[in-house]
Amino acid sequence: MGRLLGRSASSWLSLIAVPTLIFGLLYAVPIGNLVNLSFTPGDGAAATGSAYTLSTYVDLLSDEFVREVFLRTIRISLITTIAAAIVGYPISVYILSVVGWRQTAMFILLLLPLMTSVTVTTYGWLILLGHGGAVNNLLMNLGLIDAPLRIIKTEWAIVVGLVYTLSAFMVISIAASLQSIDQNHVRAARSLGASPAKAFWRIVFPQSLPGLRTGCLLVFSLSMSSYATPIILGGQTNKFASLLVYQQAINLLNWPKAASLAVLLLLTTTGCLVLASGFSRVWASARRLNATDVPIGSSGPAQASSVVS
Amino acid sequence: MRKYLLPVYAVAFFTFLLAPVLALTIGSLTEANYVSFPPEGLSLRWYMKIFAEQESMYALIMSLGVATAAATVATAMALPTALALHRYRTPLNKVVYLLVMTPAMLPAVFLGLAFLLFYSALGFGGTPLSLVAGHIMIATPFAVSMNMVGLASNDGALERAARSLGASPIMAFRKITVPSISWSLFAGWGFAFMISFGSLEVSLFLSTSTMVTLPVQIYTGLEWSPLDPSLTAVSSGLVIVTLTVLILTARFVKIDRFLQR
Repeated sequence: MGRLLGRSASSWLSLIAVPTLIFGLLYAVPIGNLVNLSFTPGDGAAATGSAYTLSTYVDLLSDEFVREVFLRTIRISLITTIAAAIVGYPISVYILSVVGWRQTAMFILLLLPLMTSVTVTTYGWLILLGHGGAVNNLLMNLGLIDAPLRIIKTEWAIVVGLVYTLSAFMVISIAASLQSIDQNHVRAARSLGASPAKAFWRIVFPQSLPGLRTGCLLVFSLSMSSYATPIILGGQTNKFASLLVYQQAINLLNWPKAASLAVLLLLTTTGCLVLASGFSRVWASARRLNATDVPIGSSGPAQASSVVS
Repeated sequence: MRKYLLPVYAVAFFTFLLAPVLALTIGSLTEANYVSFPPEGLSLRWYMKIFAEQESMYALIMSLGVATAAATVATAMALPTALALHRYRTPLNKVVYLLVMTPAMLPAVFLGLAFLLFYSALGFGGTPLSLVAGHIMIATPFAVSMNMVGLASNDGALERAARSLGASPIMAFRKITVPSISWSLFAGWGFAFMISFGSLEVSLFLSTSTMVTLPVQIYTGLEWSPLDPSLTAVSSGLVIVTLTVLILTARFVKIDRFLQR
């Protein structure tokens, strides 16, 4: 037995040795180096001081402009997450109800925004949403508006672009948990007299919450770190945190400040997610306490908002 | 009436997904000197123009080369990693998993900056090698997760049977397991290729003025002249490459395989 264990450990090691070494050197060490740099005093690019300091972080947090950019990033990411959940949920239900080549075609379409460079898809939205773009033309021809709306360079354009890029994560996550639901539960509820809507809200929806949660988590964190969509569709007035990192590093060559901005972005995203999961846990236990008092119809939407908040 | 609600909504949603790609591709066929949708007239003159332009062709070749190299190395690393994580239960599995999967979760600018600083310090910053290295890191998680799905959907009974009939471990693996999970190798390669081919942020940090990938070139072009039709032609070229790889990849990976965890 001991020999067997030793042999399996050595074959485990021989399998992962090279990938781990490469990832260690070209991924883990660079990240450690970046985090390390963010704690060194920020004197332009020539920061060689060995003393650790929090001064770059203190500077960042006391900068009103930085705070404003981070708050905007959080706010728009939150709106994007809620919008993606609402837009994506019905699609997850639908994609599981079709079979064969149609499902494959939908799968390809779903992955198209994810796999096509975000620069290109965002460029497409720029053409569609612009002053003389197709959306404005359509609205004018329908007589809904008299003059072209200003859509690009607003926060709404950013939300459209982000929902477009990220909704696939939501749809796939929700579909994965819908797929695992035992259809016999639904049949049982229906045979006991539940309407299709009631069966959905009481049986299907609660069991799909893990997928919804995963989807929200993915969409929120990816939208927090988005770079191209906000700058192309939102313009200079609607900056996201990622752009600050790039500007500090490439335009201003202030690497310690860029490093601490990058770390701050990561910490902010993680912090929001921890907060959200705390809230949803409190909500879930509160809901369990007075489960008997909750009217059936209202439990669904209320839960959805608790997951994304 | 209610019966049609969901299909109609789905049609609207998939139109939404296609809209910007169609706008670009159709818009690039314009005869005018500016981008508009719908286009004015139909011509391929902007495609002819980019074929004559050295910069765009160079960026395309650079992107194709980097993505091919990155996807191939990523797949070569993903198979042994997924195999080790799938077959053996060690306390270190979690560490290895986090090491190879987290690049997909961290902000892209965070990675780009980290790679730029460290690769420059190692002395190969500004070379195609640094671009390939950075892209390997961001593409590998997709190849690993695809290979994990492949291994999980293969119960291993056939390989054990081959072993009990006297095949050596390597023989059983090559003749039995590899063919049954080959779809996940191809699909993993395809996803890794597309991630690398479309990556903007990491390339922005690692590129130089003479070493530019296609997304970086388009991004830079957007800053100066967003309504230049040759930019839409370059963009639709990128879409065509991505769509080809995506359709080939989707043939290997069926959605139900993707959803079964």
